[in-house]
Amino acid sequence: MLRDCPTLAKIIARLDSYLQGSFPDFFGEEPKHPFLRVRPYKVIHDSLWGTNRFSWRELAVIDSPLFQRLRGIHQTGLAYYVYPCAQHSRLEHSLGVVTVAAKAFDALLQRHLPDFQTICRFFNEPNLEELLARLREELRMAALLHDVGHSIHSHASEQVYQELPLLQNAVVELHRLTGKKKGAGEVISFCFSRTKALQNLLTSAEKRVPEDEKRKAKDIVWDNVSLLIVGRSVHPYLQFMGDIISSDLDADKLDYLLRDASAAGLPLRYDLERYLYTVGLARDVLPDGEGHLEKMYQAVTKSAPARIEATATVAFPHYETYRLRLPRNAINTIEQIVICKFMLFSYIYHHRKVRAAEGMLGSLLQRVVANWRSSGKGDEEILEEFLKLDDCALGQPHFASSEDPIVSMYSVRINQRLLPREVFGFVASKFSHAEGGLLSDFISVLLDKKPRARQDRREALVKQFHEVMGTELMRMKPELGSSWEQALRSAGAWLDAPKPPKFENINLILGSLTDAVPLSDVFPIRYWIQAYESHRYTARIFAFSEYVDDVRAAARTACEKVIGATTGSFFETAGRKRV
Amino acid sequence: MNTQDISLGEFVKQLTLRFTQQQMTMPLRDERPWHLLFYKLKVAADYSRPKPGFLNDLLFDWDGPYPRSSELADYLDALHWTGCLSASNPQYEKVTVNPKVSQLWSALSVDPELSSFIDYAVEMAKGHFNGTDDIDAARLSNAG
Repeated sequence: MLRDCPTLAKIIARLDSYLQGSFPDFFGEEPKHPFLRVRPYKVIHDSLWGTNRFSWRELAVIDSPLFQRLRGIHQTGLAYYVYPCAQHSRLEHSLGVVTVAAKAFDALLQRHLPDFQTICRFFNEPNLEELLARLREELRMAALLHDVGHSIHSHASEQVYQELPLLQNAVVELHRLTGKKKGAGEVISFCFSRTKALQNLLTSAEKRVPEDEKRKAKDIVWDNVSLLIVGRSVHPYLQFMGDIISSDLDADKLDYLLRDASAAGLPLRYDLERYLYTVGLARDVLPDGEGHLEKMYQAVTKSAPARIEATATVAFPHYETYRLRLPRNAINTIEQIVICKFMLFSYIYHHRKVRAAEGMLGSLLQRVVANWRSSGKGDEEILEEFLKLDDCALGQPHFASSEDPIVSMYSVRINQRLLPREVFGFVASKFSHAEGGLLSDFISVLLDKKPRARQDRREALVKQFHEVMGTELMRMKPELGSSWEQALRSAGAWLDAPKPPKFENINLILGSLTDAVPLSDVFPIRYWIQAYESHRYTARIFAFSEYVDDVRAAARTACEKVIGATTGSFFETAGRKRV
Repeated sequence: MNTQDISLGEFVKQLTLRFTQQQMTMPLRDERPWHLLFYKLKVAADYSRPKPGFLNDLLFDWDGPYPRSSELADYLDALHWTGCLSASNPQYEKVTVNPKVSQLWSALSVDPELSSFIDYAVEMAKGHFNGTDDIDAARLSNAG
């Protein structure tokens, strides 16, 4: 499958060597674990979804260092500095996604048995029950592994390692393979699922499973597991399984929305039961205009289905498929989910203190990456370093007592919650005066796509802003450093432009592709997005508490010179009012 | 600004300026014409001169009835909520460039090669944005 994907193959080889070398007892050629006889299943209790059963295969993965490291990675990064209860980890989220994915699969099976029978006819499997059991287990395994690529403080570190050329190339290769763009974290999870190390562990576990259970257990198709992680599958008729794992209303979202809100103590809810009651399968088409899917299916399926040429009704070559779809009467559930997502961005992910803490962590990790590079490490070694990190790393000597004063200072400050303060906050809707156009244009440049491996206007503009601000700081406070970069780091000053929330392809959720009803026809989604982003999305300038006044003055100079804003009302609107 | 340096965002801005000059309607709620236009620009074989470099990096997802670039969708959204594009109509069906922002964007100097590609894009968009031309399936099949 990965014949034309050298970067992905290289990452898999590296992950294999890392797992087998670091944890030979689990992932080596002859693993010692699990030591004792493996139970056919175990029950794990979850705060959201209650009591759930996990199979021996799942337990082997769960009890391995690959999965256990997720215990040390907070699901919502550093949000617990604002919401002290938000201490939940990627581990419990991953277990939750398994449960939700299985519930969705079971709900579909209950209401669409004839469709499942049709699907199963294509797999030459005489026993429908066995085939369904296998597909269900593949789905659960994909859900279990979907986040194993995460590193320290979840998405805060992903923002840094996704810039590695190795991972940028891998993202492009995976897109060419699947016709879907996925993030760096998903790429790593996909690669983990394809390691021999993981197979070594499962082979070892299988030897310790009771014989009758072993006979019952079907071999699962690992190509399907890894494709499900990135929202695809080995056969177009199984696309609905990819939709359950990675799509606009996938099991991941259904778990994290409720889990993050619940853990943070926010009274946000959506009705999962209603979702499960309404979610359905729709016979549909999967367009393949660039030929990615044709290559992929031919590589993974012996009897790959034939691609259908473009017709009068479907403008591109395509496959017949089954998709996960919500009918019109599910609109209430979608409303709840959309509202939940907006609120979580507003309350948690874009909270100014969360942004401050994660911005500091990002700067720290960028510095650490630069240090790794100067010590001769390449992208593969840097990726491995990231996989060794969990959230505890911040307090450990490696960071807290680093020889690099910026790394140690930022590490200590984050640990002691000495977080930067907002000096200026730019909200699009507040700048409707004469200088509004300048700010609109400035923010629009900050949100522009960065072309790969090229210096672009966005980077140039951010650099120019930082350079003016840093130079002004140096002039006011020479003790902050001998370069503008150093002055900014010492004062904890930077311009922060978070990524706005994405509502991806939600327009296509209602109905099938041929009779899809845009969500915006029945729900004011466009207005909501516009209202949220105009009124709540904020680009900010931060500074450590002791330098707030200096940075305010320096940032004002940068705004004047770079944005062109000069009026007092502009700065009054942008200034943070403190009581 | 030239074809090699221009980013997706800059290109969208220059395109909206030309659309405005030519009094073309720019849709917002229905993103399909935008995605089809950019997909066609990416795969167009009949344009023999250099195309903007960002088009090579623009990835289209094949999950819906038409190829969709999440980066393009995000950027169109961003231009709207930052106030660069205004949608005064209640249904967000079409947008216009904010006159204040238009002056800033017009100040960017565009080299003749890029300008010629923008003209090509505007001509291609005319059918899509006015709803008179659907995608030419045969020409786009297996274009990648």
